[in-house]
Amino acid sequence: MKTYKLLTRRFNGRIGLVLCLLVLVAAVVGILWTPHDPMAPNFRNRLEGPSLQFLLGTDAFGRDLLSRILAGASVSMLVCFMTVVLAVSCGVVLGAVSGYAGGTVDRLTMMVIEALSAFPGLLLALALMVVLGPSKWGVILALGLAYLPSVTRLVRGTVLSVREKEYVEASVAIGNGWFYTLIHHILPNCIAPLIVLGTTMLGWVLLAESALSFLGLGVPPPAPTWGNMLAEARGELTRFPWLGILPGLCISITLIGVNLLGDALRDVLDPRNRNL
Amino acid sequence: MAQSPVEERPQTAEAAPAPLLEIDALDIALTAGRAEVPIVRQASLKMMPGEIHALVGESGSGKTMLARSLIGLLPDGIEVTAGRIRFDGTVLTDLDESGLRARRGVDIGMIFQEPLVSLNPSMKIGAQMAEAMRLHTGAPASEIRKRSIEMLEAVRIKDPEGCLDRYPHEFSGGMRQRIMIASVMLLRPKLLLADEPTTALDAVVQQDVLDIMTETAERFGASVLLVTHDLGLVARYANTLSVMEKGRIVEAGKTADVLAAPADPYTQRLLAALPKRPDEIRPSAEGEPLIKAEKVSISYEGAAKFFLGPRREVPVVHEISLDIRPGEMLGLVGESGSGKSTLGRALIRLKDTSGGRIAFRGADITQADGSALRDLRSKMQIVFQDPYSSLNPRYRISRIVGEPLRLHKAEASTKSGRMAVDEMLEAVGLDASYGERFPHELSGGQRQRVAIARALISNPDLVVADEPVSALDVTVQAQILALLADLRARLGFACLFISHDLSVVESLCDRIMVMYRGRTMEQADAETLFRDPRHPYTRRLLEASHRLERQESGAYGLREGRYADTAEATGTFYWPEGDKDDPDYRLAEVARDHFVALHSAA
Repeated sequence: MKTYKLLTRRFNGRIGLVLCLLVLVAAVVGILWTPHDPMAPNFRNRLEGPSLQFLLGTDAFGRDLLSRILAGASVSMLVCFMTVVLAVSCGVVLGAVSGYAGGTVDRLTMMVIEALSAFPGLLLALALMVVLGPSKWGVILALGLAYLPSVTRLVRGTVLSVREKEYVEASVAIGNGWFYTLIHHILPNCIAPLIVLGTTMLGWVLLAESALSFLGLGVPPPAPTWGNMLAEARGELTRFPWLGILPGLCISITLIGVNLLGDALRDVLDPRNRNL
Repeated sequence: MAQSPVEERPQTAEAAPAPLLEIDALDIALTAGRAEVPIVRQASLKMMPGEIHALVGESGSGKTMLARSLIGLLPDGIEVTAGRIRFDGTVLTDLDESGLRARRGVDIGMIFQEPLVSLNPSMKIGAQMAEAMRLHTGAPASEIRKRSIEMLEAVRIKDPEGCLDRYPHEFSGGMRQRIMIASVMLLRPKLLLADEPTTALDAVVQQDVLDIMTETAERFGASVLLVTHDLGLVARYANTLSVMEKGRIVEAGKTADVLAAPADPYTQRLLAALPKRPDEIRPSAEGEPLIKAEKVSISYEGAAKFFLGPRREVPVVHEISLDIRPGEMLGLVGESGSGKSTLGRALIRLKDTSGGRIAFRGADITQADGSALRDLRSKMQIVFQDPYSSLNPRYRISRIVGEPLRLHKAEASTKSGRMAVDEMLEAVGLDASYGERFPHELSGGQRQRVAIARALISNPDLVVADEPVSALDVTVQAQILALLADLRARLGFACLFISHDLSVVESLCDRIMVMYRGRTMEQADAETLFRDPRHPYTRRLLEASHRLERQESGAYGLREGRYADTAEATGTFYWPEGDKDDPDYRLAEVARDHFVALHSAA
């Protein structure tokens, strides 16, 4: 509760919170109800402008854009958050263990991670998608794996530097076990860079998902995601720009919201900044 | 506009030569924020040509800012707001940036505190030295090279020609500082600004560097403005001094006069805070040793020679034996890299040993693990050097201090746990309300008090204090040392006090052990070691530490280092060479409880 209060005291925290809530509400609404069927094509209403019936107009298949954006919100958010959660949670575990244990464990872990990052992230995801076949969970797994190395390396690096701090040695001297020391003294001091990376990664994943969709390996159509809506709009962009602008705007709003919230959270979680 | 540095300076031998530097009612303030924050207030200072003037003060006194203002090197947002600096006939405060730049290096040279970072690691020494001279004089490269070699000779660098083609990392900290001096002196500046030039160096090296610096300055007719916190150095090297407190110069005058009769209360406080010789000889502690280390060796894991290959072992401590009796305070002295901190950590199992035996109350602890190790930890604690990194910035003080209770006694969150924390905080001289604060809200001295509270709350039998005051200001240092002595008298814990500062150790410890390159060089009770040091290394350490103390006349003066000539009779002294085990090393008892490292083959 105190964190929430501190968060809303900051301007960027407030804005970030509002934008994120907006996206969240859209996603929830998209699951429960949409004005029209977001997937069924209706060739009588192709590429219409905004009207009372179709508030934001329709796309090349005559599907209501508002419905697709609402429905897409839930799919996009699910894919993005799950990917980031997957990459961050696995990355934190691997990076923390590798950085703290050192020695052979570290060398083996980093060997695997370096082998993973030898391939460009997207290429790796592509290869995996070919094997897994296009599906929501496939995208999450593939992108999660693709972004795992950067998280692992970041956490390992931070742990390596925090580990040398004397308060970590003090914790051992007191008699704390290694696990307690890792959880209570090392990881909390690694949070700041992790939040920055996590929020930035959310943006990458949104775009990477649309790139996969564009290649026909993303979340399979006709299910809408903001990424594949953007990709589909490409052909009509000069004549019907709103087809691209609307999902693009949604992506931007989400990214701005998450980044602002992330920045505010990073400051709030650091006691040294509490009084600012 | 820049004068040729080689130009002869007119020597006016008249009664009153013009001052080289005159600072007149200078104000420096932080102007970046909404309100101006004064940093230096109404500072006035006068320096004659050829003089060595010391600017003394604690951290935050504004001494560095005052020195930096001379060459316009103040950080962004901090500027001179009033007053005048007159240097060698020019008013520096009237000059613009390009005018100041022409003076920087040419007329006023600066030597920084950290020799390890003030030289560019990716540039050869020669190129780095030549930079300033090329910029300011346009002399041909061959001429610059010749002059560089001369100057490196002046600062006693061996093989100066070869030195020009080497990189900074090939030199030790002391050597780098000498190179720094040489490159600054190359342009023959009239004034040398030395900002804590040796604070990062060991005592013996510090003396070398300062001797060379003052010698070179004298030879080339430069004055020196020495910014320092160390009164011993001031007494040894400076002709005149100014004492700064909170941005004001509170006292100025001839060094000898000020030390004889300090007029300002702050100067008096600074001098009173110097570690004192103990009044009486303490009785040596008796009884079975609390902790006894026998032939303990410790090595670090070096880098592997090849991919996935075995790691190299780098030995840092060679077969050291020591014991500490209950309630006793053993001082462990040595320069950086001597292995003293490693040994201290090994005693309390923060570092694994590679050989030997450590017995705590008679039981070997080198192999203890699990709950036995946890029990042991509550009986042995450590206070670290740097109070800024030894407290986790994310937790409140009460949680930091109470953490040991979580494991060893009641839960820290229970009422009795909280009371214990409050009591402990009060015992170290902090109000219980500090428990609600975070480490960053505390000063260095307060943080060190918290670190001491954390170490003592589990009521340990042994405390390892690893240079607990070397990061603190002189006056705070005195308070922390007094606190440690007081707590030890009350709680009766034994203590291993690690330090590079002999005077601190003398004022506090019962017995002293001198370490050099991982071996014991000498060990004796404090009084004997200071009266009759035998090993040349101990003597060198003692000579290099400039210890000020109050003499019978009431004036403060440097302590004379004159010792009985017992060296000859002792035997052939042992000097460690290399890292290998050495069968010729022998620790001989030359008098009762007085051990000296001797060479056994001779």
